[in-house]
Amino acid sequence: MRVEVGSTLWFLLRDRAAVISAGFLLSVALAAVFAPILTPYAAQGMGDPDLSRKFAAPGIEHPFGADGLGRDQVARLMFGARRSLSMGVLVVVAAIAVGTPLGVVAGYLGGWVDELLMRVTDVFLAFPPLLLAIAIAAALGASYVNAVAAIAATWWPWYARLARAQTLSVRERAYIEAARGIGVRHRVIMRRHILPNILTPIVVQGTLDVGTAILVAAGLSFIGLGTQAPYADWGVMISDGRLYFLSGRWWLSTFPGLAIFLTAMAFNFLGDGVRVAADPRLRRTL
Amino acid sequence: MTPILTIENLQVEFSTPFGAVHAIRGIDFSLARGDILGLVGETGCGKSVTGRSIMRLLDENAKVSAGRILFDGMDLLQLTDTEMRRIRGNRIAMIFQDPATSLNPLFTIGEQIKDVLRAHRGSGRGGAKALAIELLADVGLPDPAQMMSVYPHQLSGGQQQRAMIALSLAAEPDVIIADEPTTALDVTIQAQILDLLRRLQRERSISVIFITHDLGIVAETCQQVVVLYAGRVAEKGAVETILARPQHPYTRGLLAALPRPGSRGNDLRVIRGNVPSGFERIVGCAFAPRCDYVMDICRAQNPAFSVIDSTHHSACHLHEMPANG
Amino acid sequence: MVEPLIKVQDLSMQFLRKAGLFGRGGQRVRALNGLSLHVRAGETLGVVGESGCGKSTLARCVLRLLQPTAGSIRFDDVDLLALNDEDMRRMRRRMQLVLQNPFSSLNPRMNGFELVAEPLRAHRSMPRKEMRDLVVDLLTEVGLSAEFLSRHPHQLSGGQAQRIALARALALNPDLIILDEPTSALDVSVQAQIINLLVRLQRQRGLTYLFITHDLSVVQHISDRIAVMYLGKIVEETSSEDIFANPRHPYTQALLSSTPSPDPAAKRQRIILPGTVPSAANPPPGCAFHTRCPQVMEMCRARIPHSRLIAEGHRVSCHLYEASA
Repeated sequence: MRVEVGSTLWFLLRDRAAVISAGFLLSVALAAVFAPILTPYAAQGMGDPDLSRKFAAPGIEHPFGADGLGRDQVARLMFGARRSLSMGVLVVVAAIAVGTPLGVVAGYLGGWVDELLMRVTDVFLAFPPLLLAIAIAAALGASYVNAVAAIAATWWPWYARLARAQTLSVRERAYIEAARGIGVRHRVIMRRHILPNILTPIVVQGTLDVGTAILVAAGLSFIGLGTQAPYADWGVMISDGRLYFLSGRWWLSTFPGLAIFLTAMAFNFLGDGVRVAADPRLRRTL
Repeated sequence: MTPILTIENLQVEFSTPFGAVHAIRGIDFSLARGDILGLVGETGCGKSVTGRSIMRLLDENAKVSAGRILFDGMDLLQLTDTEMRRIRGNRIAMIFQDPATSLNPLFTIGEQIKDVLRAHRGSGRGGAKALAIELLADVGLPDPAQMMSVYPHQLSGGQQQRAMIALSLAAEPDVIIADEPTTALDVTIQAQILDLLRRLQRERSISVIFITHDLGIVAETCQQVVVLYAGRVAEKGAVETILARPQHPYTRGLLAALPRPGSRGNDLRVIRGNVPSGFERIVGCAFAPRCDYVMDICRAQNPAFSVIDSTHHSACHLHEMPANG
Repeated sequence: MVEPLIKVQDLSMQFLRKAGLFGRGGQRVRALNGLSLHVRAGETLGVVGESGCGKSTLARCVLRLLQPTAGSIRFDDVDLLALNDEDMRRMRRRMQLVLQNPFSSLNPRMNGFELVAEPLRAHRSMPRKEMRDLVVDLLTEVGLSAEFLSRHPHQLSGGQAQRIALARALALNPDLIILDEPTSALDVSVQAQIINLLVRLQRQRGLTYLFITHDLSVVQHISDRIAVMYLGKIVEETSSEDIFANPRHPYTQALLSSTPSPDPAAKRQRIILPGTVPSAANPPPGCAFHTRCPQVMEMCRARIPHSRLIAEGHRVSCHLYEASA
């Protein structure tokens, strides 16, 4: 295990796109965590207006400009990152936490349990995920937590499917048979033998998905179903700024848009890098 | 008689995330024309790497750090890729452990053999077909005319290996390198393939390097044997003398470790410890840490070959001691 | 006479192999075909056969990892096939399984302690300190030190990993250990260590072994009696000494002559069987071996031979010996 992680890291460090992406994501995360110290406009970042700076254009004082309530865009982006990033991560963590155990149970036990779970996931997967998330979020009521719950509810079936497929292949390994021969109980086999051996592809998929989850969360916030004023996330910022885009205040929507775009892309590069580095058969392509 | 293939001081390293692996630490031997030479040793001794080095089919992270491989007056290690491609398959052919992966699944056995015949012998259409059927009959495949239109997956493991042997013979190579060609087969099928190799040797006087871990196979198939240990040659020479009177402590230990009829009730002789890892730097004799006869000099100096008789060489300091000492 | 610890009677196991894309109308594969055997407490029965003869299926049926189609299995006079799942799970503490390749039969994510403690956790509850001491004792018994507690399988050599697998099997102090090719993935020198260890453990703990392998020389070294399998049946069964001195079934004779011997003096007559083992999905009528038998007679093609006692403890299923009787 130690060596496995070690060699994965060794190969990951040889993937330039993954290293740059990881660096970028790390700095975004640090900016989000230390936002109150890093920016002189912490109060504005959290939503307080300062009308003296209304619609300030990008310049030395405000590199990304200020919005209609005079709030510094850099500060808003840093505080927004807290919500956007956390929403993306929470969605994926929740989806994995729900989907993986179900997939493992279905794949290991098979039979009617498997049949039932697969039909349920079929129902979820039949709807476009964003549409389903909007419906659930609207039903639950607009809030940060509900938005996370709504997106996770559309996402877990993917992990259930992935976990089931991985379980089906791990189930055939000799050490599973050996454990059964010893008389180990089924639930212990699932927890101690199957789960640890299917985690790698799930973690890889999770990394790839965080970017998309941020995008979907921004989408919900954009239509008002996510983060509520006075707080902001990147989706809210685009939404707020879009009215002024044509009147020449381009910076209001452009910078949050760029932030989402770059973050989503970085997660994709990183996830892809981990996928290649963790798989000895793919490492040659580096 | 000049040997057809000579390997001199071959050394091969692999670079890995955890440092360099010394797969071959200096190997010398030569293959005489018309001989079957057994290259034996345990996992990690470098026997397969030697085969692949001759074919220049090593992975990208491998590096030949020293040595020469002389074949027909050329050093194979100095050839360009294009020159090497002309040798490979044409003059030196290789048979692998798993025939299923070395035959192309998309073409019939007949098409694959005819391709080789056309490329290497310039046979015409009709001529190639007749020759291919002849080859399939020669390797003992039943109903060879019908075998021409059969795909690899329709054959059993033993038949696939026969087809692979026919394919490697098609170009009339000077040397065949067989890497554990019977390890994946059942004993009764293995007996068939070994019988085939012995017959081909009689009839076509092929020269073969037979890579195996099984001393029994060496006894039944080979004339010469090279015993490898940790990327070095421990002992080499004629099969009858080495198996009957092994000189190197490693060869002796290996033979004594085999269970045989009548050994029941007694403990098998054991070589204590483990094979050194490829990461280790070895000073002195590679076998010294496991050897029952180890002396001070063994830990300091790598032994040179001692001539036991004209066909038998063993790399051990014991042979340098005076007989009464 | 001692009552057998395990008694298998008329055991049959058929798999339904799905055919085609929609999996309808599959073939029936007869992996076991009315097999009977018994193992007495404290002895080793060796089961020899080539791939596809059903020997691994036999091991899994005895442990009820597979549910046999017909027949009976009695373990210490308990009908295993009549037990419910939980009772069978409890019964497994008395019968353990060791598989061929320790690197695939040990979970790569577990360390030595977790691996050896796993059977204890499944069947007993004890304080962690006591469990640790017990695991260390078990490791010592198989020749490993306490430093292996924290090692993962990929940090072990093949022999060390197989020792861990043995320590696991011993943890619950079982009566029976089923060994499925336990040394086939190991190098010769390591194989000898494991065989010696198995013999010593049996003597010290009074274990009963069902030893399944394709390797006759290994099995004769360790077994009291040997059963030879062909296509889901036992064709010959006798003492370990007898199988070499006096093989009666033509298949046993061929198997013995096909096993390569490293002894250059042992130039025996070679019996080379033609063809390959027929598919278990479509076994030949009459005696299943008749398609390859050098001594086939007319009646072999039509009638299934019965198992017949031809001498004290020596059973053969072959028409050659029915005719003479």
